[in-house]
Amino acid sequence: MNRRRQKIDALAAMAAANPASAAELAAEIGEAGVERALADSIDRGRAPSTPIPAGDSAALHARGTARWRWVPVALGAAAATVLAALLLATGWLGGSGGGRPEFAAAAIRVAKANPRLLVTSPGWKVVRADQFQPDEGEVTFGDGEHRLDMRWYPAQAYGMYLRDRAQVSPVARGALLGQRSTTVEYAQGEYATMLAPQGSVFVEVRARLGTRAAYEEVLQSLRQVDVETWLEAMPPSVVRPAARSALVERMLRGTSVPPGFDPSALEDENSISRRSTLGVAVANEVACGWVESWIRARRDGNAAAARAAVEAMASSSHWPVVRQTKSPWFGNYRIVVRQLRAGHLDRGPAGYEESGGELIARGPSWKFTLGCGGTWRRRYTG
Amino acid sequence: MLTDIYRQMPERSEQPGAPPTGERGFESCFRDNYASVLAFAIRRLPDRATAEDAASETFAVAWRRRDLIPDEPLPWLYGIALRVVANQRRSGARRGRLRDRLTHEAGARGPVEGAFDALHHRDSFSRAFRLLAEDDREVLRLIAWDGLDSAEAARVLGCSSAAFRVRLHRARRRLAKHLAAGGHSPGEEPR
Repeated sequence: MNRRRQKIDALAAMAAANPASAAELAAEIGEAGVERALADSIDRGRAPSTPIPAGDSAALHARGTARWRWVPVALGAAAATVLAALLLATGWLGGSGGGRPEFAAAAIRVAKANPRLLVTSPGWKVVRADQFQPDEGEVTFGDGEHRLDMRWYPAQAYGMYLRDRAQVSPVARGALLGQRSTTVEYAQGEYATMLAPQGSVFVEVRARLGTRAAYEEVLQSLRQVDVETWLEAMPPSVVRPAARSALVERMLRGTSVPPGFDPSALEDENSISRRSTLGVAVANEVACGWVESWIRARRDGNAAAARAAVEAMASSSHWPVVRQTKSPWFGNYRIVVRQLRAGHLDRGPAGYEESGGELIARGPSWKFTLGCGGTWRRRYTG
Repeated sequence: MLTDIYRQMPERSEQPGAPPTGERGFESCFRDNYASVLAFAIRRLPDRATAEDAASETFAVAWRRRDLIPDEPLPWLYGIALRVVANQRRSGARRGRLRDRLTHEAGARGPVEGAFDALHHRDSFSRAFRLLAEDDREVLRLIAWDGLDSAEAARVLGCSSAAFRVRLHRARRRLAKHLAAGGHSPGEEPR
């Protein structure tokens, strides 16, 4: 056998050993199976995401320093990390004093890092603002019929996005608000405009408003505003501290809370977040309390208390706060309920990160799965 | 090493002729490519459930970055899937320390084996395949099992086409050598 023949045989032998055929899988799964998998993936994608989704080089590039790579086994674990980060890092201090709202230092940091653009065309207002960090976030404006998404990204990612958008369509270069701008056209009259970086971020707006002229009209109505004006423009769905305590109380009505449950941890006056984010935090606090109650009961040999904790967690899908919040996050609760019923709580690592060439484990898994505090970080030793 | 390969994910901007498709394009991308991504995961992971989880996670990442989905999304999706699979293997490594130890004692190199390696180790091809370093195995999988050409496979691994062709040439040569040493005949089918 000559050398060339050997190479060909190697690949042929390899191909003959292929353990999975996409065509056969497609036939086996069927359309219904694909639709179920599609819904599952979108649910996962919509859930509070990992700081750096595995394999997401764009996010890696954009975030710069974060290097989290969580194992999918802890589906909710990484989401918990982000949720915690959201509640902390995106915390806003609202509240009214003398008729003038005052905002927390964290909120001001977000606003100061942002170009703070508002659509000033009549009828337009902010209708959604659920991703807020100084270097990355999104606000949606609406006029009741149309919507315009405004995103900001780290300035260091500008080149990457510019090259990417240049592949969408011919780029129209211009100026907007004294900044260089580039506009591209997506299908069906949807346009996107990027502004050159200003400070640590750059902004991109994107909308489908029927015609290029209508898009330009709204685009030209963008105005840069001061910090206070920008923060005041946030929608009612953003919960301000004054209302937070009462809202937490309302969310807890009809929900069985664990012994010694203290909702004050949820009433941090330095926090302001969307209602749905707060709903997840409230439910998580209750769930974490029940699991801690279960742990104490098992330690103390209190079978009745342990049973009560399992029953409470098993009924979590009926908690009013869970039903009203409708977050895919709550799918994580089933994982822990199964563990409680089996009498074995997963206290192992929820995932790993690479740091300085070492593998670092974080856990315990159940706390990440439920978004609880009190997690640990250890060097992975195999 | 394996993890070094996975760090080299190509950025969307490096892929020519690939406009973002946005949310509306995501669903059609999913329907067109789900089976391929699932097959990709099955070829590398120890069981079907783990592979399905990896496929879902791959598309969850794709959904979050749906503005960056290229016209020919499969190599891009495979690049994401490769990292998800790496995470799955790391998780498997934690839970399967005993299996790892036995594997290493048997002389195999690289991380935890996939379904193929675990289930078909008796035939001569599989023995030869298991003697390869994981880097070589991955290069060969992308071509022989995933059906990519060298340029696409290079994009998945984040290296140049020229570098990939060199790696493929060497991997093929090493596999052929192991096959010959193991007495594999050209017509032999894996059991």
